Amino acid sequence: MLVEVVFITQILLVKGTLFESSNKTHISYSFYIENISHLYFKLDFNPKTLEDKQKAKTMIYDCLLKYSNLAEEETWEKYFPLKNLLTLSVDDPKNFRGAAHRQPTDEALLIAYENSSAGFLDGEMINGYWKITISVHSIVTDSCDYELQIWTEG
Amino acid sequence: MKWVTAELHTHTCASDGNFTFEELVQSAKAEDLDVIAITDHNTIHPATHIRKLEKKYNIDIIAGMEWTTFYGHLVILNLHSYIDWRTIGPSQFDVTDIKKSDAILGIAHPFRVGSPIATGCHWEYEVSDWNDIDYFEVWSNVNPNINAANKKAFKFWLDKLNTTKLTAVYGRDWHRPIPADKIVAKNYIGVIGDNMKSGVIDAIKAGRVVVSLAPLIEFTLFDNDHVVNIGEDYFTSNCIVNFKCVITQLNNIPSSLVIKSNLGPIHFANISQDSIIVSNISITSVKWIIAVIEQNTEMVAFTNPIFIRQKE
Ligand SMILES: [Zn+2]
Ligand SMILES: [Zn+2]
Repeated sequence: MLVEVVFITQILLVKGTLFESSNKTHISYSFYIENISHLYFKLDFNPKTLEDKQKAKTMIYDCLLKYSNLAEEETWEKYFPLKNLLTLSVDDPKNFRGAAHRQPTDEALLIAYENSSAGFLDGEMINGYWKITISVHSIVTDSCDYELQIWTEG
Repeated sequence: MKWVTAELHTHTCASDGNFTFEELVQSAKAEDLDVIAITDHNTIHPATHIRKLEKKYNIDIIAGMEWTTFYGHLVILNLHSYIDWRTIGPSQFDVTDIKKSDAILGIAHPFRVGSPIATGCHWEYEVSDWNDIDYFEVWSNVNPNINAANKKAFKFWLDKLNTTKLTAVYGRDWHRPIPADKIVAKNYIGVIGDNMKSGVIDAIKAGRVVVSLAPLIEFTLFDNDHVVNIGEDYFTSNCIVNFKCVITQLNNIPSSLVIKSNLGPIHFANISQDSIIVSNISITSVKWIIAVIEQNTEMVAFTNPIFIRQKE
């Protein structure tokens, strides 16, 4: 019986800390890959939400005032809790390979010739420098720690 | 010209929607929509996958993306390759390259509350040339006719019509099944020719769109020589013009038909069932006119404008 041996290599585990002032930044990691069949990657960050009710209430009121002045005396709790939002996108050496504009889950994301995760594009796993970008859409907590892991297979 | 129904702003689990692409298409079919645009946040769907679903469900799917930036969301329709958003600063809004393609651009939910409640949702870019923007989501989201942000958008749009052509559309921003206590609207799009998708794109560019909770208003101006449709210019030296509104799918609710212009409302008619209203209006100093159906003082449908161009 022929057994296929699969090599999974962790090529990055990077951590960082973001602040409210980190909003609207992009953080990219670039890495060289050769002869791989699968690229796995996973982003996690904490905290996910702002649980401080007093701070949230002030931020929500400020936001409603800034954008709507609609006399929205509707309950601020409708928007509680405010969320941190970081999204991931990937570029291969030639092309855009998709994005995950959503809250992360425990599952790693995959890009491969086929069966890539939702939001990512199937295709050749070409040799060269690939790039994973974290886009900091929203940090509402005082600080937020993220962790990005990248593995290759093949 | 044929009226088709379309939803132009949708999401799947490829971004932050709850639907798979196939479930979204099934939901669109269940509502009898003729066309949908797939507009996930900052990613695109392969053309082969789109074609497969079109065939399986006998529906037309326009490829698109919601260009979801930190400073505003732009829906791009008829888009066949990814457009980067990650390199554009708040004062660097420039769509020259996109406009070289066949894609059309619409500002999404322009007056929705922004960050930190909904990051980047409020349009904050300076648009230096409104001719670059093909359409505007005057109505967005569920219960669109009573939504306060949409009322602002409607006012803004009417004001813009004094200086530019900008097509109003509805964008549901469809992420998940609609709760039973909420209502949605649709776009009636006036398609010319046999190619549904390019027909829809052309019609949006040309302003042949009626935004509505249900009734269709077929609004035209006419004189001895011409019939003028919504989106078109009517060149005239007359002070009075005839109009015709054919109203269908009204569901027997007491309603009023209002013809609005840059001078305000210029004609009223009470209707309670499908009707054909023919009358005339004075167009002295009128730049544009739209037809609106109201029920209990709330709008339930409105057309895009006919522009009046007074000959000297
Ligand atoms: Zn949006
Ligand atoms: Zn959207």
